[in-house]
Amino acid sequence: MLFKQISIAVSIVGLVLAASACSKTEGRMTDYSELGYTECSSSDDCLPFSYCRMTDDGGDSGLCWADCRNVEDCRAISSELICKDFACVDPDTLVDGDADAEDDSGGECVPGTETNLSCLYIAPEACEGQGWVSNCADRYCYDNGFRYACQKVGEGECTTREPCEGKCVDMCVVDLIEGDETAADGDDPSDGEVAAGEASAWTGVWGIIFTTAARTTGLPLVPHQDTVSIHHSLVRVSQDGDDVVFLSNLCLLEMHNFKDDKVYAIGEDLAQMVVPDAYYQNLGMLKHVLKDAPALESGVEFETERWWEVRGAEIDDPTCTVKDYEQEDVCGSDLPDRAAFEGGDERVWDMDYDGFPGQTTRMVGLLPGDVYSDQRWSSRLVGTVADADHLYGVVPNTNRQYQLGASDPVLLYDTITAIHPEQSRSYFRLLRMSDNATCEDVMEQAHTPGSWLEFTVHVDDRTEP
Amino acid sequence: MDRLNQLMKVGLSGFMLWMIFTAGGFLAFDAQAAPFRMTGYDTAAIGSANSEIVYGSSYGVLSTNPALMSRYEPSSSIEFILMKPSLKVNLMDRPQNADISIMLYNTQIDKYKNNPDVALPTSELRESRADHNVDELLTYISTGITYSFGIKGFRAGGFLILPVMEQIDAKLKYYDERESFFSNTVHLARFGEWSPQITGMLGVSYSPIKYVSFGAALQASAMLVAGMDIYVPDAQVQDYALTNAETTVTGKLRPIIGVQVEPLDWMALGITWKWRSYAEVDGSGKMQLWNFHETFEAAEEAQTTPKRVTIDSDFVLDYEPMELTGGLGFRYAGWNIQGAFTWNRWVDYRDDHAQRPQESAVYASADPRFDEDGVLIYGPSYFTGDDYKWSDTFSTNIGTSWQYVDWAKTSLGFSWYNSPVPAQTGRTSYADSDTWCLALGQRFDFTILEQNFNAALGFQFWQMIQRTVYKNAGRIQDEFPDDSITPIELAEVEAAKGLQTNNPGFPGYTVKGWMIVSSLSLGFEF
Repeated sequence: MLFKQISIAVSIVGLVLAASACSKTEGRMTDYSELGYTECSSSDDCLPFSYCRMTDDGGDSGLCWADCRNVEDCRAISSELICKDFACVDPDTLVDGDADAEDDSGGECVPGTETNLSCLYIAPEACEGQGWVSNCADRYCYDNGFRYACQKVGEGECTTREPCEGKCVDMCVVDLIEGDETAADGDDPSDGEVAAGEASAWTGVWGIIFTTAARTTGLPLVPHQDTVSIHHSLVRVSQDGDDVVFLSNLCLLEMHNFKDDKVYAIGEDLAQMVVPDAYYQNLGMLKHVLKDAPALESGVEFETERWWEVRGAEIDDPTCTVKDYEQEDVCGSDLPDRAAFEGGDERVWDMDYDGFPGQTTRMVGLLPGDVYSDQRWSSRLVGTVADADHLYGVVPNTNRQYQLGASDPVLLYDTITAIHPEQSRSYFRLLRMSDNATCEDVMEQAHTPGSWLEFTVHVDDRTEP
Repeated sequence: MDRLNQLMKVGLSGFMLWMIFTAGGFLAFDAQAAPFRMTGYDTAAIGSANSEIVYGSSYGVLSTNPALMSRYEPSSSIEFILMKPSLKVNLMDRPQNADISIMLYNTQIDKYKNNPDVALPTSELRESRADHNVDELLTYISTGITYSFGIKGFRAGGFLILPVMEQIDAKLKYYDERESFFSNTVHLARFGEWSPQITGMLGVSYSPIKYVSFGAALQASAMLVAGMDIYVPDAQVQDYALTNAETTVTGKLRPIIGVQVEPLDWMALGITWKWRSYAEVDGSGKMQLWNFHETFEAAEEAQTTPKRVTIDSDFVLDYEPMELTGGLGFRYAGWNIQGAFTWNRWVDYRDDHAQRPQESAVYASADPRFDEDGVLIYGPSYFTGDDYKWSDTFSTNIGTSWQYVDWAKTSLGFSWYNSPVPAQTGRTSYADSDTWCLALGQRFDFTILEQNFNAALGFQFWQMIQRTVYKNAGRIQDEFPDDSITPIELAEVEAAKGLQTNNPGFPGYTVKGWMIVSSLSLGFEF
């Protein structure tokens, strides 16, 4: 009897073990080489928005990938990492990437040597007609340093609306003396007004972060929309007698929505306006003049004159008187609004050369599409010297903008935009750089945590170099 | 004394029936708590692998064949049931570039308009993709009764099962890449991942003559209707909104009909039919935003019209299929043995989000591809979901018991449940496999103060057969389409090339495991 019970028990256990051992497999193991990934041997294979991530096996090939768009994406991994060419990397491991223009002519740079860099040449009188500095075409070359200038190579009248073909030429030196903006034409750059004094200490090439915070009302969904425009520019500070001239060549313009101290990354908010390259690459340069420059010593305060700029339209007199709260008062010429544009106002022009009137910005998120607008704004720098290499301050500015049209009528609203009431959100910080500094150097500083040119919400967040 | 005992029995049985009916009325209980469909609802059923189709001895037959209530003495019992699963879904390693790069944010979002469930970059998912283990202990207390009310051949019965830890806990899941927004793993679909719920059943049986008995029972399923109205004063402030919720519960009944025919003292037949059952939840709600209007083009005439948004959501909880069971049993000299086959109609299955598997398997591709002749080779109509439709199954339950002395009985049972889930080589991952069960039971009868009591133990060991699934990459949604472009430069992004998906089941997974069920009961015969 006992033997029988044991036999049954053993049989049951055997049955259980046998059944437990059963298994089945379905489908076919995926061959990863069939998944369509882009193989690469260097990041050049992955341009413009990815890098080559090497495989873990230590080989010399990899797959195109992007870790990040900006340093904020990397901070989710580690606060020590920065975003470099779409890869989160430890900045200490980077080889010096200083892209300063090097003298590659064996020490004998010949002024006027043509480079392979293209530009749009605009005649000085046409530049001035738009209210820009007379050498406005040089902006296309200044991304590579202020030693370059734009020289006409094509035919035509070279107006703002129909610029000529041009080439960047190497002037070998950075002209830090005001008085001749057409150095590319071969004139002597040293015939400007030179005077000894405090002004000369300011001269050089600087990088700047320049923010303007605005509040827009009249939009759907939200009571108002706060937006900060973050400009990073390469600045040539030159001397004109006792005066100092800040000439800013824009490297990058980004717009971000914000709510209180939370600044949204692009795509983070429900709807966001982004600025296409063509928008800021065709803007005029800003020229802020500091009269009777004081000594460049810590704690010294300074204030430049106001600079007016019109975008997307060409008007006779862009200047206005300014009343309290940085509001336009009486203007020399009115800015064309949508009604004027629809009525055939020819002062509106396609400033970014994209085939649409005015300047084109792009909405992403809930309401995607393009918006066409014109704008008049002005700014001045009211700052303090932190030390001989660091300046900071606020940017009082006026702003008027009209929506002229949109790719989707849903995007057209009669909005009102005013500067943000917190002045500390519209600020600048200037950092002295080498004379051969480029926009790439400026942006490297901009993306370096703790840098003087890194974006902070308020100017007060970083006033100690 | 006899009269007093009789009055006590009537009073006690009436009180218990009232309790169960009352609970059914006010708790709006859901009779579907799915594990019991397979394990059985009481200790006697657990000890015989839920095989009581032809012969039965306790209220658990309300589910298997309510006609059997007329075949045993009126009784009641209280039970403690414990379930300990150890089930695993192990996910295979993914190729690195299957992740979705954060560059997704810098591409034109309207590119994905064919796919309303726009993906998140993998690095920003709330949960990292990980294996899934189901090992939470489930405990229940159950009580039930069968009573005759002095009518020969008639029985009324009912029972109620209450989870000890949590009363109602419904955790909904997606079974495709949409689950990446939530738990980011693969979940068990049919066996093992059950939501604790209050469970109950009521029924009657009548045997007009010795040879036949009829029975019927009702499972009451709760249908929860939940609506939510939302007003968002400031769309920039996503963590603040005014909300009003409205919930109502309505009952939904599932009939069970059973017949037992006993032409000979040593042989009987049983047939049971159950309608399918699930709890359906309407989760629709309305949302209004500040200063948000219809465009003039959308309105009949140019006027300012507030835009109010209605979000429709349907949920289905604890789906159980329609079942038809036929069984045959024999008994002789203290032995009885019975076996049954059940046809389970799974083709109508609906998952937690009220979708049929064949519907979930097909997706609207944002990345259709065409051959040189312009013929679609990859896209919305590249394949139908027919390969992923669940199939009907036949399951079997076999049980035997031996009354070797007047006061003790031992039972043994075995059951086999085929998986209705086809090979999950596509978008969906309803993790499931064939399962079998071995059961053992022991019952002791005893008398105290001339009253008949019994105590019983039940034990089940469940095994899920290991099942490994490899995905067909061509049937996985590419959530970062190859032709994605940046909104500003209109440039392609190399990190988007090839298959990127957050589907936790890609490139494959293995499901396996076991579960132990044990129960203890104390019964009283009227």
